Amino acid sequence: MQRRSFLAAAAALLSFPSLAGAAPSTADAQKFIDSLGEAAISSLTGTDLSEDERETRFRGLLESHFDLPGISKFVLARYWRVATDTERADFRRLFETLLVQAYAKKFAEYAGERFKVSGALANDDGSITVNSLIDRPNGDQIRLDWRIEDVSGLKISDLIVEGVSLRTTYRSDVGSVIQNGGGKVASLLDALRQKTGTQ
Amino acid sequence: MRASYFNLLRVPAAALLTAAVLLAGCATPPKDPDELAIYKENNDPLEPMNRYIFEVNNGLDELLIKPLASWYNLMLPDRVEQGVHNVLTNLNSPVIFANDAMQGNGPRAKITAERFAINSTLGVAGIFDVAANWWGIKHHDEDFGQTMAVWGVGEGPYLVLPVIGPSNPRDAVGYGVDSVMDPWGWVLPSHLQWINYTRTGIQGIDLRSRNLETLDQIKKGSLDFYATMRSLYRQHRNDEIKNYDEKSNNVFTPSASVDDPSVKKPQLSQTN
Repeated sequence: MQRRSFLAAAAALLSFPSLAGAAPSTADAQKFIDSLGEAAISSLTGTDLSEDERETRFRGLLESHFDLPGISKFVLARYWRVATDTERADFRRLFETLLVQAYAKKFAEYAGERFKVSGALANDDGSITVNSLIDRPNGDQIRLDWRIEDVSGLKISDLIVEGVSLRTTYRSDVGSVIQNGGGKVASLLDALRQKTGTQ
Repeated sequence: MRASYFNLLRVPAAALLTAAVLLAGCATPPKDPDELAIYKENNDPLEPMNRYIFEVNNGLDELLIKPLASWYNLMLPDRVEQGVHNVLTNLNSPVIFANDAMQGNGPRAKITAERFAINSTLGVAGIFDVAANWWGIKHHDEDFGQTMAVWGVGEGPYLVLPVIGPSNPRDAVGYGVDSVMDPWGWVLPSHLQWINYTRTGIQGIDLRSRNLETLDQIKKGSLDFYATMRSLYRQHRNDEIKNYDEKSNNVFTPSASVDDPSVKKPQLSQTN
């Protein structure tokens, strides 16, 4: 009897992914990316937008749709452990500013390309990869994959362009800066302050 | 044999390499376990020399290659640039075909052969990509570095080559083998070899002009441009080797991802 109820409980757990680790559905993840695409094109691409306004809106979308805490932790990798709370917070803030400064302007040059979501797959670790394709004006097609995780709501934890992962690339970049700065996270923060021109 | 920047610069490059190795030597592996883990992950024991060549390449790019590519981009109408690109791509077909075949990939070899036959004739010596536009037979690239990877040859340590840029021993050897395999060099008599040299030059300008914005964007977004390029190169090569099949991307049946082995799962590259 006891055994049967255990099995029933296990079966129940398996049939409700939300209990077993909050795995989002692939359909939800696709919808999430579709809506982000619409939001980005409608709010970021206007030619009459001031640069500041574009950056503010981009930052808003970044914060609402991306798992910035998770990405920061992944990017700092083994240095996350040794970083103090202040350093972690500083890194997150400065890293976000770096992304805003580097990518918000891209939307000013928007030439009508659309990405179309072409599929989604559940990964073994509970995350979902949403595949999309962008048609360039020169006829090239670019593969853009989105890694989605459920961290109190769906959030993007990585962007993969033609097999190149954003967070993996930044992990290498940041790791090299810290390494050349004598293994100190402070040296990374200095480099970020200098690059972004902010505190 | 196909000419390349590399050939033109072989002597100075060899001297430079030797000097740089002697001067800079190898990076010493760190003692700290965390640092050692990163050192291994970077797989870049020649980092001091590589960084030096990277800087020289960047200088050359800023002084010569980038201005040429920008000029090329500005002066020629997009349609002409596309035509030039198509011709170059078409001329590369024999090498791609040979590599498709050596990888044992019949379907892709067939695609390359069909594209070459169609575009060389209907596409007027390759100017128009009729195969892709009319029949949807799309271009794919392949090279001997990828072929060796398929055969199980490891990439080896990271290497920055003079002028050519990011590489590794496997891809550097692959580049050489592709150059030897290229039939246009055999076909042309020696007094016409300049045509092939010109082709290599235009190939470089074409490649650079198609990446003007991308490289600027990468520079803008990175702290350590060298480390970023190293990571990008590796990830990109791994992606190319996997021969991603576009069709599998379009197949969307939730169960297929688990049960159907023909549906390739896009993998997140976690290696550096």
